[in-house]
Amino acid sequence: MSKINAHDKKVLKKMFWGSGLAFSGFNVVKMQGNGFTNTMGPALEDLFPDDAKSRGEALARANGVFNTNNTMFGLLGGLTYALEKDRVKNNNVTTDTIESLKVSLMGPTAAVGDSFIFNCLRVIIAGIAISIAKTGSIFGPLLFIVLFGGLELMIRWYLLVAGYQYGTTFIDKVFNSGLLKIITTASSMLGLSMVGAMVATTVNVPLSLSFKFGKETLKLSSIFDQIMPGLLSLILLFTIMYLMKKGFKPMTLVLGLLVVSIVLAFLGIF
Amino acid sequence: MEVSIALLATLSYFIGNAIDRCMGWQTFERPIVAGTLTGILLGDPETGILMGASLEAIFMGMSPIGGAIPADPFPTAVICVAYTIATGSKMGVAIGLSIPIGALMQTVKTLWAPVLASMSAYWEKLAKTGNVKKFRRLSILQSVFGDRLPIFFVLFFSIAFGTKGLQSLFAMLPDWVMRGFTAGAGMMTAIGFAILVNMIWDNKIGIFLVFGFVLAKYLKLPALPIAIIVATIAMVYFLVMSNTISNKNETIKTKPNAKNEDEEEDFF
Repeated sequence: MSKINAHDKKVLKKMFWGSGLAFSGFNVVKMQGNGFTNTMGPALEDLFPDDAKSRGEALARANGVFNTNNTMFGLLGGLTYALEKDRVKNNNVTTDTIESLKVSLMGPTAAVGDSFIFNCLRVIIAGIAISIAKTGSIFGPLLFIVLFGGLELMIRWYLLVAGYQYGTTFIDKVFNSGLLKIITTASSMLGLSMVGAMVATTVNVPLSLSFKFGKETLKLSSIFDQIMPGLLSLILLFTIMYLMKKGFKPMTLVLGLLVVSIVLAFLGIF
Repeated sequence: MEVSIALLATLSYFIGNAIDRCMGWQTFERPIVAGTLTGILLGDPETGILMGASLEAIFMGMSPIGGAIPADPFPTAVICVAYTIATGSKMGVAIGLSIPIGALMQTVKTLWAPVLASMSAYWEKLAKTGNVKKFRRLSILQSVFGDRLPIFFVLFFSIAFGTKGLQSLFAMLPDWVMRGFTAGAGMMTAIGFAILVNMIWDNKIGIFLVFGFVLAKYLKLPALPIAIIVATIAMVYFLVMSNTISNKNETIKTKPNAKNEDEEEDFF
């Protein structure tokens, strides 16, 4: 829509730092309501510099139930700022429109944010960082901080500007065109592959049982390795996934796994 | 000795929590960073980094997404690293115990939740006054001190007074228990991954899991090249599909113009 001038940019920058408090005071009643209040604060200060009552009303609306991926605070913050500005300056948007748009976008933005940022980007970066950190190198964790932290900040800033600048057209383009589903699927492809790679390198089923046939000893693990190296890790993963789908709690599975391991170690299989 | 270790470990949790919660990050709360920071403060960065890497894999699927998580990775990483450094025991012991410890930490958080919830009426009243600066100041204080207040104490006391007992308990156990523990720790990673995979699983693209596995196991590719290969495939999928969508939208728009439609069909 409009070009962003220096003044807008100043407000958006303040909103950006406010959105850093995304998780502040998280509770089951308002969820991230406080985080969104802090995101909208600078914008509302800009729109109502002297009118504390109107500012308070708008701020209380921002304090309503809110829950999405933390990078998506940018998108919804920028969009809400643009709409509130429209409401104050041109009076052609109602508070109801703003609130219902905000509420209706929380779910989809959370879905795309979580699947792309948390289950794809984070998994990739963590995968690379783990492989470096496994050698004991500090560059693993450093890489994680710089890449994941940095990207979270960059994406949040870009979405804040985009939400403000393109407003509802941007939302239409992404959320109503079916693009969302495609982004989610593409992210899942990446996420799944990285998990697969990490299963290969970090899950370890330590079979040490061996049979003696005359002179030759046959290790049980080598039989499985001949079919496919690491086959047992994959079988373990799919078994656990299946049990979880059947309703077993992760805690139960953890304890079960420990008990089974200790029993198998006692029997000399591990 | 234990008290100073407990203080430093709690400090590392405090610092990581403050940074994450003021930057809107989920970075320092991850075991790979939390473990490292704890290791650095306790004077043994290498143990911190190595354990951070293992714990990160175990807790890969455990994120606050979708509300309830079985175990809280952040304080768990701090405790496990502190225990290992304080007692000089094998890393596998603490790692094997990590998820039960994490579940305990998660319970502490759950018990604290009603307190946080009861504050929401106050926050709303504060918002109504329109005092943006005061709201932000108090939010920062809440982030740094309030949100995780009980964890600070639980961390300190469990490390200060729990490590000795745990150590003597493990010293009594026979060898095969320890072997079983270490084996269990190696397989526990699969549980974290299973949670994550169940979240993103889609039958149509399930083969990508095996694809990543094969690239790592057979071709011995490190994580970055695998990410690039799959990113390329995902990019191709994205471009083709988004193209299809925009073509479909175009077709709908230009339907009355029959000539235009023909041209598009020729294109394919």
